[in-house]
Amino acid sequence: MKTWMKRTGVLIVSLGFMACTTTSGYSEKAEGKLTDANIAAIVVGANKIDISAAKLALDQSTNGEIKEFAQRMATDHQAVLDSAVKLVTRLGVDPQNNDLVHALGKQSMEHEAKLKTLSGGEFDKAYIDHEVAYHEAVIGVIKDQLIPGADNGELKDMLISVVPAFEAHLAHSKMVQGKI
Amino acid sequence: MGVYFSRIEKRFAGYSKLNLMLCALFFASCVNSIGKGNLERQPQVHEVEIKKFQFKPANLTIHSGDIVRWVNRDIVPHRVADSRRKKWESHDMKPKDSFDQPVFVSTLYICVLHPGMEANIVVQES
Repeated sequence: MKTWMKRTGVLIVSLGFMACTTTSGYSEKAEGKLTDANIAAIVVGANKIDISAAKLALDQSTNGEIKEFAQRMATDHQAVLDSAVKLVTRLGVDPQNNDLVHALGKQSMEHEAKLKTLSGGEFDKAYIDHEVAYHEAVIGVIKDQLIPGADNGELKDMLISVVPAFEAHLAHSKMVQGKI
Repeated sequence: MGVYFSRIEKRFAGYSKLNLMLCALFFASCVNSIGKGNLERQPQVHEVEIKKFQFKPANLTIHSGDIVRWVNRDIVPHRVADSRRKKWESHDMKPKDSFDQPVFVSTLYICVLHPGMEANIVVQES
């Protein structure tokens, strides 16, 4: 429990920190906010990360609850990703990575490397604990950084519309966490 | 002879009564069915929108036998079912898909894919 809380805290703090530093970093260049190209990259990256973790869980876990949750994440995040890519393509926005995207990618690689060393109940717990923390953190970034930062109205609307999906996933992950 | 005619008369009289009764019954059934056709309520279709991971309206009031039509306006799939998943269940509804279900009793229903998504159908007395 302590390990989980520690890991959750680290993830949230680091994501929040990166979001803040990124914002402040761009404040000098981009009038105090992220560009739409950065936001597009963050949305694409955040969804890809959760799909990747879900695929790992589908491969490695034997727990029905975990596999069902992972399948839901893979399906829903792919749908959100497809929708986001379709929109930014239509808008002519070319996703551009920034510090936050790099930080997300690095954390994802470390998390998956650790998951690959685990099995059984340990794997299930590490996976679902991270899912709870990850969804909490991403919801915070979308609400506090991406929605206020989006210039394009359609991009902003898309971000607003995906929040309920992330919130539903957070509730689902907590429910599964309670059973593991 | 008088007795004979009176017997025929009685026979006819009886036959006529039987005929009359049959006609009356036939007529009555016709009137009854026509009446029922006019009085019976045709099932209405009620649309429930699935948007932002919510059912709208969250509380739907219908008459028994009415059809509830769920329309998925989210970008992810949803699957609706009665809360115990015993009476009815939709397919995985992709975006823009819809699902029709006649509903006869008040019920709590859910999205099977997304725990926490639930809403009510209340069947009111006719």
